[in-house]
Amino acid sequence: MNARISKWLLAPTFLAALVLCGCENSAERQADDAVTAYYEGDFDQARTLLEPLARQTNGDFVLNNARLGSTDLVQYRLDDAESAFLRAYEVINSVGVNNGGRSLGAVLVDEKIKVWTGEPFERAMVNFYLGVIYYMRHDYNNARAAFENALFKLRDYDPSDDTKFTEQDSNFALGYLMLAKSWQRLGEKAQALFDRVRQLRPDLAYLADANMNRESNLLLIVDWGEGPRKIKNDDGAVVGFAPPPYRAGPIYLPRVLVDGDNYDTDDIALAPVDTLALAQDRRWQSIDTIRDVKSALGTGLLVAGAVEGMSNRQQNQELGLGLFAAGLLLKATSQADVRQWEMIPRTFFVIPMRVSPGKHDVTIEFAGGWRQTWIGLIAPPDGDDAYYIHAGPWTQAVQYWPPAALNAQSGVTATGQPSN
Amino acid sequence: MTTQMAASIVASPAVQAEIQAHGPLRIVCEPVENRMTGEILPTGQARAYTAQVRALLSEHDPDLFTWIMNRDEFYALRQSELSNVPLGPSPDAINPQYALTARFDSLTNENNDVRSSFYLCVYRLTDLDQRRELWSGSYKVQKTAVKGFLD
Repeated sequence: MNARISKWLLAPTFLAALVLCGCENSAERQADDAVTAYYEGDFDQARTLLEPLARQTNGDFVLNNARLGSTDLVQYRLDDAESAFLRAYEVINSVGVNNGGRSLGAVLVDEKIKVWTGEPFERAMVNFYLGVIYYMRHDYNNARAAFENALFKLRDYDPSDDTKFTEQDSNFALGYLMLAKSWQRLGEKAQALFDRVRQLRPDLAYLADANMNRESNLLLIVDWGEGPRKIKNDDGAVVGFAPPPYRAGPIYLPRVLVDGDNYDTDDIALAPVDTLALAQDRRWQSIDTIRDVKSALGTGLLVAGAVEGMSNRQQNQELGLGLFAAGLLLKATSQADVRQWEMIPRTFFVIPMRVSPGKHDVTIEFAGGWRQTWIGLIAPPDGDDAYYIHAGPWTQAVQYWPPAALNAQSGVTATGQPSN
Repeated sequence: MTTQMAASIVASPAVQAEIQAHGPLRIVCEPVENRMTGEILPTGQARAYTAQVRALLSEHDPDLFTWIMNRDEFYALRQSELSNVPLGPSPDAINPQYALTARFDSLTNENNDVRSSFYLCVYRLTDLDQRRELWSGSYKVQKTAVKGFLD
């Protein structure tokens, strides 16, 4: 009898131990190393590590392609970045990728079994990055489509009305701003979108001025800071994002110099988004409730098992052991999935500038000592050329336009014009 | 769709009149214009689409129409690995008189429960000199996807 019970108890206990030990496989370690390399400014190494992972069609396919896209974009490998983000985009826009066994497995065994498609703000960011790439290539129709899709991903129900599900448009001012700029470059309806930015963020009134944007011929898109980190509570069942914006401190504003002279950015170098705040809007999903219930039940069973186990009667001790094992299993399988896209910055500055057509040396500085100069950025006489600048730690102080990686790719030529 | 298109084009009185007046029509297939809501049309796919439409149209009434790829897409595709789609005559060898344009529009809505799209593909055949429209045709497709538990 005892031997039979032991066998029954051994299996869940072993499974629980396996899940609880959080065994990290080699692919996860490789991805972690890639993220470390990214933050150390070793983008070649990050790419080398991520590229094979991004080709594996497993539960981390979207995540690894998003990571690879971020790495390629900061190196101006625009074709590769587009391909990586498009692979993520295709899965994110699909439905039913977690149907069948994956949903059941995620509920019963481990949430990490599900195909990672990100939180709403991470899905929006995949689309935002795609939009940026197309904007840089002057492919405004695809840029527009990508920014529209970013806004779709952040649509929500009106929280002020609990009685009915009233759809609410996104409050993603950055998405509206870039969408307005894309429509403007297509020569069409942009005013209503610029108005929407002003409505959402009155402090961005000048940044969302249609005339100023139309006249600008040099656009800097600068990413800054570290985005949110996914965390579990002590129990491991409830997931959230940290730090909240008030704990992370203020967003530093950049200073821009063109050919050594200060360029007045007081009204335009403002942060149109704070991803730390955006992540706090994380939606509570059905699986969160399931995890929470499993965790609470598991705690109850552990307590009951401990109480029964202290009894002097052998039958009660066996029952206690059974309850304890069941509780351990429930606790182990209620662990939240904390996979996340670590490269999302805290904010993106969108800085439209008007400078004389031709080549310019542009410097971006942040309080705290970060400074980077781009030699030979091109401002066209008509329209605008956009440049993505990664204000991360360990980046080179001087960069030359065009970057080496860009020369090897199609999309934008050395003059800043699309090559096709 | 291209079979319907080819039949519709050849049945157009304006097209017939043009053939009567000038002989077989030399038509360049212009790049697709993406006006879809929230839907990216990657350059490679757009080019492949144009090439496919050109190839399929050229199978119908070759004595009445010569379908030519636009120059940019012709050379881009020739450099790519898309060798299974015939690209037709070199755009440098034939001077087109007419253009076939395609514009894709969509009305898309997405929320927590569904993503639905209503697509409209509009094609226009115009005279390149006078910008006169000889023919137009539109095709509609609707798609609704219901989101699952973990979507």
